Amino acid sequence: MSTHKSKSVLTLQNVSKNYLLDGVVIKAVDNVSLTINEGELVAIVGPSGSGKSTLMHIMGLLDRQSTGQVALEGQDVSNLTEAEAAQLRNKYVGFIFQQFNLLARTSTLENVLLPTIYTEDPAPELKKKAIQILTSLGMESRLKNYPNQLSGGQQQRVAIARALINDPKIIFADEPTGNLDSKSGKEVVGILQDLSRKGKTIVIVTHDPDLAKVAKRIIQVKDGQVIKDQNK
Amino acid sequence: MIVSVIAKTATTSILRNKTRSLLTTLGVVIGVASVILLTSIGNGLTVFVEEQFQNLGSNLLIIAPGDIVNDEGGFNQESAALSLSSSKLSLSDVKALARIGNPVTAVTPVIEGAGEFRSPQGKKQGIIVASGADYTEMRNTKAALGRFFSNADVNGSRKVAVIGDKIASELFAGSNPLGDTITINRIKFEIIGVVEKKTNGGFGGPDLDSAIYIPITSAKTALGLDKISYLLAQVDNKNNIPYAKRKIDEVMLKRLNEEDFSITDQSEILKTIQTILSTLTLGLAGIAAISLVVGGIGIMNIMLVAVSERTKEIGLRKALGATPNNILVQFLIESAVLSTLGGMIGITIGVVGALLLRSFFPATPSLNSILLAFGVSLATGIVFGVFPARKAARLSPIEALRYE
Repeated sequence: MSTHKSKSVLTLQNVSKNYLLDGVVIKAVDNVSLTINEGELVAIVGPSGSGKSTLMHIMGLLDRQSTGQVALEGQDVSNLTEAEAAQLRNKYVGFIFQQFNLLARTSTLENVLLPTIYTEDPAPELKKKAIQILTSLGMESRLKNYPNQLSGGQQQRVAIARALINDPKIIFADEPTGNLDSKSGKEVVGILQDLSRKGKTIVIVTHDPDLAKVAKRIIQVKDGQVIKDQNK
Repeated sequence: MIVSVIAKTATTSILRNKTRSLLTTLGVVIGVASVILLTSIGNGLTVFVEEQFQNLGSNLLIIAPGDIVNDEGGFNQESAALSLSSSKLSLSDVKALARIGNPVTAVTPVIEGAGEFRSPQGKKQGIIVASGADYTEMRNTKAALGRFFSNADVNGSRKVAVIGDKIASELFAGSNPLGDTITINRIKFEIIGVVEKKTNGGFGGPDLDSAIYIPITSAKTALGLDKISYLLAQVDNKNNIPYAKRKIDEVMLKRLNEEDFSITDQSEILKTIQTILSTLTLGLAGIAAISLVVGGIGIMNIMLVAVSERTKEIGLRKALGATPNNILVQFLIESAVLSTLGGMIGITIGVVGALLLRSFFPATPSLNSILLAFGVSLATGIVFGVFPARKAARLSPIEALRYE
């Protein structure tokens, strides 16, 4: 299969998300259509309140659109039950959060393995795989540490390893450097770039223009609409 | 997703909060422990009473003066008190009943009264039991030392006494009382025997170890006791009891009015007491069960706190692929593990408590009550865990992740 055109991982078609706030309809996402292709490193940027987080939640199957279609690898996922969405997230989507969101009093290794306990047919030798990923992120000496014994940068690396454990088709990073000092932030950006070079599809959501610069494609969102979508 | 993994997750989170987990289970611990303890006491009482009845001899019919049994078969207290003082039973009734023959193997009159017993070592209050020589066999009251009084003693109105174990140890400490003299209500009796120990401390009922047994004839002549308390009739075997009862009724009706006597057998009394005790046990267990419910509410409370405390964790788990069911099961297992943990601690405390109590009180823990307590505590955890678990399962992952 020769690919002139790269394969699409995620497609949104006329997607809107409406909230009802004090009787007034708020359009958090307003008629957005876009496609994320395999291997892309995309940044979704926009000021806070622009709807970029809601957009990411819909793309990451955490939230459901009010109207429009969402397709994951060509398969329509617009009308899933909560449980179905959970299983797809588990298999196909990785999340990296601003707050790291590691389980407290839980070791690095266990944190990385957390998604696998909800996997229906988990891959064999998960522990080995987790150690491999952590080693590639330079965390091999911190396997048994709890999150409170790690620096912010280290915690975010654990979170990245957790996002990678089930080989997701797409990784969402929501302000991944927002809680880090600039040095650790740079390291994390380096890791994301590295993953992208290895072919991972990554979507970074940020309001930080410096972080957006690392992406090859920048989608600008304002008032729930895509106002600019350009490749570098 | 394997339940065992989720179970492990649940257990881990319990172990992470050891102190709180223990405090949470406290209600269930107390509930289960008290259920076990109280049912043990109820069971123990029943066993104890049954043993006591066996000790008192079996296949006996008691002919009591007056109408002590009411129409419903219960004990008629007012007329019982009245009729004891105006007993119309007489020694000639004994002779008449003895003539029935099979299946009535023996009949003996009994006079019971309070007495004061003196020896050179001191004095003691107790019960005087005056009867015929058959009493020893009928009541299973054997002399451990010396002998029980014989027909000859009865016929000769001899002032001989067989004393209870406690009287021997208290009034004749350190010596063999046989052949000594004991003063019963100021009349001297010669001690010919010591009765074997009957009860271990005398829980409820008359203290038979502080009783003195004398021939009924001497009670009349020497002590002036002449109102017969009751007659005992022994039946050859259990199956003949109803028949014997009818025969005795016939004979007695020819001699006395219907309201002047009543016939009861031991099994009837035992049955009544057993009914009372099992009702009592049930009532006690019911009261204890209330504390189990309170314990369950405690668990629900803490689980609700845990759900809101761990909102962010729940959101994360959901984002990473946990289905609402996964979360529901995790929290249900958590509360079930908590409550069964409490149940097991409670069972241990209850059983150990019952065994410790044994030296003072006949407490017998039963396997049934242990299994029941275990089951109830597990059910408590699940029932009271449902509400918090559903709350957790319904959290939206986005809201939960945003929660600070």
